Amino acid sequence: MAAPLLKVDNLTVRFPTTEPVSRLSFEVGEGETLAIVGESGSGKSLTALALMQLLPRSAKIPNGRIEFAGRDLFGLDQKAMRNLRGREIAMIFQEPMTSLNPVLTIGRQITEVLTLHEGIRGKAARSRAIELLNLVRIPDPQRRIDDYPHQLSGGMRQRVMIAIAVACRPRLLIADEPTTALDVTIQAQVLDLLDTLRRELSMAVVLITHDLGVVAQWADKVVVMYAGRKVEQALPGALFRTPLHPYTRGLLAASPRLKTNLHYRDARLTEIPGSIVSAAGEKGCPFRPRCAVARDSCAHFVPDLVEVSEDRLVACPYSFIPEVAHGAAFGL
Amino acid sequence: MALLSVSDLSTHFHAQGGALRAVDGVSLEVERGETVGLVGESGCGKSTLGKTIMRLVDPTGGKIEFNGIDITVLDARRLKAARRNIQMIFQDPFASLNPRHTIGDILTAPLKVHGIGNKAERRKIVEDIIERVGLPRDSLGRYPHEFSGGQRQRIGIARALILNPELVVCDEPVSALDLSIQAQILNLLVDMKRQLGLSYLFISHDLSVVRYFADRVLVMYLGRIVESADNATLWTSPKHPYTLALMDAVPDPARRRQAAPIHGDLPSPQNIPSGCRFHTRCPLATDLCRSQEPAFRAVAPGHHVACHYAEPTLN
Repeated sequence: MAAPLLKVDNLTVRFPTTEPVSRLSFEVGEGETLAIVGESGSGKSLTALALMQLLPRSAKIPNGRIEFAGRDLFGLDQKAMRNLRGREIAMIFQEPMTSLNPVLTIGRQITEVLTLHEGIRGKAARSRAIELLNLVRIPDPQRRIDDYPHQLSGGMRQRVMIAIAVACRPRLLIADEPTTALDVTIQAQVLDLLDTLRRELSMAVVLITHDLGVVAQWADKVVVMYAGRKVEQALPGALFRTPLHPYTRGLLAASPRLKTNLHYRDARLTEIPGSIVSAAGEKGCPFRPRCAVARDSCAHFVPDLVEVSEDRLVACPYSFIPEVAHGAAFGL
Repeated sequence: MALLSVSDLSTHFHAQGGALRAVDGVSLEVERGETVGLVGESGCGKSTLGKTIMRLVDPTGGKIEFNGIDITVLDARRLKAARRNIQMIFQDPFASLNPRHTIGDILTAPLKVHGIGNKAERRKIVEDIIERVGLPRDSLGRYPHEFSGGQRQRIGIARALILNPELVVCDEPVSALDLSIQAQILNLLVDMKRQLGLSYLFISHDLSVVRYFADRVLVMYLGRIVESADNATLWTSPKHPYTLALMDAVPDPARRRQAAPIHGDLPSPQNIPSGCRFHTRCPLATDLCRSQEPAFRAVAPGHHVACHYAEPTLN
């Protein structure tokens, strides 16, 4: 097998009083879409910032390694990292309005990247920017290039962010909740665009999201995070057919779905009790306080990730017990 | 008689570049004990419709009858009395609670405004409601920042229910919450409905949530209702191309990497397309659609659609 494009190995991010990412490992192959799914507080966004080396100063990385295209990112000096960032690894964020500069035209914001990384200026930069707007399917790009961000809709602004991100044809795009602020109709358009660009530019995508449907439709591989740890990893089909970790099972059971007849007059939704903060500062499995199948032993150790089959990892020793696997406790 | 009956309601705003027709001729009813779901994209006017029904925004035209009384023409004193029976739950549990007031103050305020009970009685009502929504009594002395998003939404629900209303307008009540918390809040809303005999107008952009939570569904597009049907009918035999597109846009494991069902953005409510409002994005649009606005007509009992090409349902 070819070496992965990105290899995160045993990464920990620590703040003075908390550890929002703990011993996280995953790999992304060339041209592959990896989804990292989790709720607020799962550490998924901090993982993205760690990949970009944009963590706040108070964050420490006591252990772990991030290897990108064979290079150790922590071994790079600031200049080399700045060179890599935007050119080889790019990132888009949830809220395109706050990530774009409101007082510069979108054309200026795209050409800035081209000038910085590729030394393209003037007319050449402008025509390349128009090409990029075309690439992200913005209608009438010759006119739109002189617009300011506030003149565009949310979906169009996210397209501009994507144009800036792919301006230098990066090999890896990190998309942190790229469609959370958008309507489903626009979300479908933006995800469709991201996937088309992934193929056309042979770029890998790390898609960070809380939306299981998005994962199911667009990911090649899924990492489920809870309280800073990877609790399950699978191919999307397997994850949705047979979720193994009690958290994944709980999430799937808790989500109302369009294609089911589940209705409030007949059945309650299955809840995951409590919230992600309930485990803060406690020993043992971080999901234990909310887990429907927790046992006494779960309070004593953090379960290791175990490979249960090819491409399948789970961090719960009780996810193999038949009654658990049948999901009786989850109403599945 | 329906609990809430809205007829030909419009809410237009004056804005640079001409009138903004946020709500543009909406008629709907909510029966006693019913949950009516209202779905549509941002900018379709669904929140403005909710706020107009609450009388937080003045309507430009039309009638809002609550228990048979037109609340658009009431004076301030009688409006206040009517409002006791219509309450609202907001989307953002962070922005909708005053950070300087304790939970006790927040919950007592509506009782004071409506002159309910003496101090001891109010205390009793507040303690009762906070327990009903699943929070401990000692929450009352604490401030909003001490609670998580899900807990704050419980406080917002307690505030909406404390006056014992008949109708609650829920504006995206679970959209800002994590998936694992959404189910908790939806279950709480179901429990409250059962225990207190509530009716809901449930505004949401999330079709899956409406699928679970509504008895009847209205689909709104650019200020108008384009389709309405009971819950089971709408999801199994949708007739309007917009409803179909919305459903197809919901991510689904069965449709790996499928192209987006509709293109383009919602047009501006300041510049509503001629004829059928949806024709600029509709895959089936013809010349008829570009020139003539379709009537909102019945295709089956209780199932109405505003599309020239919607076929009646055959039995």
